[in-house]
Amino acid sequence: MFDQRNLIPPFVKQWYATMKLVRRQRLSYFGAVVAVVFVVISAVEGVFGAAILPYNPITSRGVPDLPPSILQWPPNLSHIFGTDPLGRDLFSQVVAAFPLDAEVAFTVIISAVLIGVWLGTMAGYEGGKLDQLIMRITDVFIAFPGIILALAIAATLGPSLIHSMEALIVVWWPKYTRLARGEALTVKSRPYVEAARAAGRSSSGIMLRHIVPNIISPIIIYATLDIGNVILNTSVLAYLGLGAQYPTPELGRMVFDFQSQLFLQPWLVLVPAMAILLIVLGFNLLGDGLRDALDPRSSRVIAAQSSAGQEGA
Amino acid sequence: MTGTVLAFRDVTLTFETEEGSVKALNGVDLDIPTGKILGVVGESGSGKSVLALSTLGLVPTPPGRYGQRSSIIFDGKDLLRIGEKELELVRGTGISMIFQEPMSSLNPVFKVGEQIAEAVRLRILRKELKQTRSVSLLESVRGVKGIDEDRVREEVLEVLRDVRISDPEDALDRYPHEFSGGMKQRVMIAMALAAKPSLLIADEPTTSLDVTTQAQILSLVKDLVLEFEVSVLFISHDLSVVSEVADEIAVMYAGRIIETNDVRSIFRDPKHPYTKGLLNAEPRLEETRKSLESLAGSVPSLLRIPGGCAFHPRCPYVFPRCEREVPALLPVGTSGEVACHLYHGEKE
Repeated sequence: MFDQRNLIPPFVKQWYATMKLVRRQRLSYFGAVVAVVFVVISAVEGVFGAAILPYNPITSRGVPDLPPSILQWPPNLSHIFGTDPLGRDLFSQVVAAFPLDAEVAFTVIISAVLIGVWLGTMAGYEGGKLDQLIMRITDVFIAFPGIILALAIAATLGPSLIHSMEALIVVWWPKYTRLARGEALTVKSRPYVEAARAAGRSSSGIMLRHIVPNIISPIIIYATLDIGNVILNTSVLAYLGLGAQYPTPELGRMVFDFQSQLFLQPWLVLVPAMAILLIVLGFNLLGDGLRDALDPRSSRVIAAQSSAGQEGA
Repeated sequence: MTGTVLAFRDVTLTFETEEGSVKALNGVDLDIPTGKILGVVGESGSGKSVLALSTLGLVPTPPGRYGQRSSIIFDGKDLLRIGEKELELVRGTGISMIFQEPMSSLNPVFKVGEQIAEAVRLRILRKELKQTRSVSLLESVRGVKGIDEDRVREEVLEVLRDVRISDPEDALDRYPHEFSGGMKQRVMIAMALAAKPSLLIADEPTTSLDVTTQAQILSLVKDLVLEFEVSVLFISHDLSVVSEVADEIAVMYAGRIIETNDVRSIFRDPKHPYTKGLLNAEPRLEETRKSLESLAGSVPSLLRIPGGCAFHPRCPYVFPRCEREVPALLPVGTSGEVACHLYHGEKE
């Protein structure tokens, strides 16, 4: 309703200051680059489909200029990672798997954040019996080893990409509930929440307007560094045969499919495995950088934030 | 005496703690007169802030517990007996509150204009559209059906002008952290007044401000009372601050009102020994005294309030009856009331 001059809200400025700090650390910067490249490739592929890949990841056969009788080629100029026993280009398969993993990772994280923030805010703000109820249920979920619970759920539902996603959401939300509850407890005692109560706001209004906007930044940051873990777990489920099904290219699935070739054509296993490693490492390094940058005891943070504050003012 | 906006009747509030029960309020009887500023003065721990919070039902119960016969009457309703939903309707639109810390009483993630607009929308919704619900999140972004956003904006600007914020157009789109303490307190006052309440509760609104800003805010409050025809309960530990704004003063000690009177009389002729002590401890410009007198002893712990008159261990005029009997708040002289055995009954 008001004019849009000062549109940038404080948490965007905070993000900007944080990212500036992340850039100063080489490893985190590397992580950020990997994460961004991964997300961009996934997004572009999501829009244009497999058409942008050098070969069709599912139907390509052999190498046009070479004898068609031989399907499987080691890495060469036209297939930089070689081809699999069916003559499909490995590079195209690996890249084709990116949007799938990105989709799973973001769906799981966003669902977990939504459920966690909703339940955690209610538990933290309302307190009392509701808090006890929500947190005890959360404890039950946390008490299970995550991957085993996910395996059990995915196996019960039957192997498919959607089911592995659902299984991961079930495992993932409790962390965010705990995180959101803790943050909500802190924000709840701030004077502006009491002021809002004194001004006659309903408790749902206070939660949506005053609690959630003030707890969301740390949660978004935690979620960023959690993306790598989701990708890793998706791959684990796929490796165990519970994720995406043949012939859908999926990194964990590829490792599983080609593991019999490990000593004959090691690149078939190593390339998708390294891709998983790189992506997970990238998000974890980015996450480490974010955590360092947001540590209030670090003097670099104070310097960067004060300079960001001056730019903002 | 004009009408009464809000009346405390025998308000007793006990907090159960592990060390025993703490009597924060101990039978408070007090009327807030319509259209006037009532100042409540007391040391830390005398129960003045709890008194303010109890008018809005903001004291958590448990651990707090009100006495059986306690009541706080506002607009024909007993605020201690109505439910949370009804209390929400009184809060903001009936009684507004200004808090001690303007620095942290504004939500840091919303623009100032938006926060005031929220109060305006709530008022229009409740007082004009007669709806008892509150504004939903979606509505605060898209606008509420039946509320003209241009009008909301006009009212926000107007109330910002009323609290003397220069360039209100500019202030609308700023975030709280871009304001100074005094400006934030003005915004808080604007938010409280935007709801056009009949009673404004100011809980030490100037404590965290420097003296110059303090004076500005005080004169602002005084002007606005006339302009908005609102009654004010002004709470402070600082006699000089209260004397600046208040029409009438109530002095609190250990959870009780011990003296009430209009400002002039209380300064000219304090009755209760505690009030006398407080006034003697205040520096004055016109007199040159060698040193300020201080009250002997300190405020009793609310866990162990002395029997009889709670002030008797510190009172210079103490006599046996003070230790046995709690003095009642009774009229004395031409104006005012005092709770002290010196003025009522035999002294023996």
